[in-house]
Amino acid sequence: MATDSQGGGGHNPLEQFAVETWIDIDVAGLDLDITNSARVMAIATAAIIAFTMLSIGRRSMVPGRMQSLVELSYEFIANMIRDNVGNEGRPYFPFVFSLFMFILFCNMIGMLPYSFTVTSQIVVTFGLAFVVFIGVTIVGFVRHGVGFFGFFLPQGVPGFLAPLVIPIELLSYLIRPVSLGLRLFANLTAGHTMLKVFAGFVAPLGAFYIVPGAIPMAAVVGLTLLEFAIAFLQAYVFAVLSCIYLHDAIHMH
Amino acid sequence: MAERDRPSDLSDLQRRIAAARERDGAADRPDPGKRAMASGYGMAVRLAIEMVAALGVSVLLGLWIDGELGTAPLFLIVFLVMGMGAGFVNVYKTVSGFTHGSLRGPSKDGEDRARGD
Amino acid sequence: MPQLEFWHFLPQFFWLAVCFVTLYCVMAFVALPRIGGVLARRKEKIEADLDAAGKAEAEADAAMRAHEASLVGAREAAHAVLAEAAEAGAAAAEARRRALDAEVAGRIDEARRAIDAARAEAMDGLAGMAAEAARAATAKLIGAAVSDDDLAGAVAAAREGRA
Repeated sequence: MATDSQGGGGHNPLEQFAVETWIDIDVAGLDLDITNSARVMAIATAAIIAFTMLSIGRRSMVPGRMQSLVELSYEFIANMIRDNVGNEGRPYFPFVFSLFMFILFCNMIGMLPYSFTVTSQIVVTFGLAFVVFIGVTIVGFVRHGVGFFGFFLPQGVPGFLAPLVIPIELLSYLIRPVSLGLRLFANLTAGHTMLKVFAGFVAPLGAFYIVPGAIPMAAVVGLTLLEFAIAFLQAYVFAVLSCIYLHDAIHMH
Repeated sequence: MAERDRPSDLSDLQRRIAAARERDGAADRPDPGKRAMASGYGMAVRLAIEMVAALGVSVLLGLWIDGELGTAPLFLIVFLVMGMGAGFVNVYKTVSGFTHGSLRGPSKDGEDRARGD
Repeated sequence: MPQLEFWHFLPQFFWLAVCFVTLYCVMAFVALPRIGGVLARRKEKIEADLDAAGKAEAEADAAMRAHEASLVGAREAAHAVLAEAAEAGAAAAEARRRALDAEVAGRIDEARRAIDAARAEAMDGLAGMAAEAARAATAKLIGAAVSDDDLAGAVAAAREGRA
C-alpha cells in the first residue's frame, strides 16, 4: 500500500480501504458479492489452514521450523487461556485460537503491498467483536442462568445505589463489543492511513530534493515496522480481551 | 578408599536428568518476563477509544429510544449522561486493570491488558 | 470513509461468517487436535525418556552399591579366614605347650619320687647304721648288750623327735 501511491499527494489515503466487487453474486435477492475484502478473508483462512495442517503434516517428534511456529502459536494461545480464563476455558480454545490467527493473518496480509486490510473494515471488526460478545453472553447465561444478571450489580455496592449502578454497568457491558471492534478498526485504519500519507510525501519531495525525500522515507520505514508490531499486538489484545470477557462470564467476578 | 567414590559420569548423569526435568517443567509455566510496557500514547488511544465507544453507543441508544417513543431529546440526554458515566467506569477499569466491578481486586490480567492500545 | 458505505456490509459480513466458521471447524476438529496430539506425544516421549534415564541411573547406582557391598563382604570374609587361621595356629601352639608341660611335670614327679625313694633308702640305711653305732657305743660305754628291738625303737624315737 505504500508503493502504489506514486500518483502523488493528491491521492486519497483512504482509497486503500475501498471495497470493490470482484464476483457478483445474488442469492434470493440478497447481495452476496465476493469483494476484494472477502477474497482476502478467504486467502487468510486458506493460509491459516495450510499453515497449521501442512507444517504439522509429518507430525515429527523433532519439529522443523514451520512446525515449531505452529506449536508455538498453539501453546501461546493455550497459555493465554489458562492465565486469563483458567481451566474452564479449555472448551473455548479452538475459538480463541481461530480468532487470534484470523486477525493476525488478516493484519499481516494487509501489510503486503497492493493487498487489502480486512481488519480496517468496520463490518469485519464489529462482526468479530459481536460474535465474541454474543458468545460470551450465552456462555454466561448457560453457566449461571438468571444469576448472570447479578453481574451488573458489583458486590459491596449499597442497595440505594443500585438504580444508578445497574444501568451504568449494563451500558458498560454493552459498550464492550463496540470498543473491542472499534479498537481493532481504529488501530489498523489509523496506521495504514498514516503510512499512506507519509508515503505520499516521499515521491513528490524526493523527486526534487533527495534529502527531504529521505525524511518521510525514514518515517515510512519506521511506521512499517511499528505497523507490524501493531498487527501482532492488536490480534493479541483482541484475543486477550475475549479471554477476559470469557473469564468474567464464567466466574462472574 | 578409592573404590567408594562414585564414578564422576554417574553423578553427572543424575545432574543432567534433573536439569532436563526442570526444563521440561518450565515449559508448562507461563513466562512472567514477557511484559511489554504500555506507552503513554498507546494508553491515550485506548482511553479515547473507550470514551468514544461509550458515547457512541449511548447516543445511538438514546436516539433510537427517542425515535421509538417520540420523546425527542429526553433519552438522548439521559443516555449521554449515563454514557459519560459508563465511559468513565470503563476508563477506570482499563487504567486500574479491573475487568468488572469497581470493588474487584486487581486481576492478574491487568498487566496483559496494559499492553494494548 | 469507504468503510462506512453500507452496500458492502452484508456481503462482507456473510463472507466473514463463512470464512470464520470454516476456519473454526477445521481448527477445532482437525488441526488443533492434531497439533495437541503431537505436543502430547512429544511430552510423553520426553517424560518416558527422562524416566528411563532416571531408572537407568538408579540401576547403575544399585549396581554400584552391590559392587561396593560385595567388596565389603569379600574383605570381611578374608578377615574372618585370617582370624580363624590365627586362632587355629594359637590353639595348636597352646596344645603343644600343654603337652610339653604335662610331660615335663611327669618327669619332674618321677624324678622327685626317685629322690624320695633314694632318700628313704638312705634314711633306712642311716637308721641301721645308727643302731649299730648305738649298740657299739652302749657296749663300749656301759657294756650292756641292747636288744635289736630296743635299739630300733630308740633310733626311731630319736628320729621322730628330730623330725
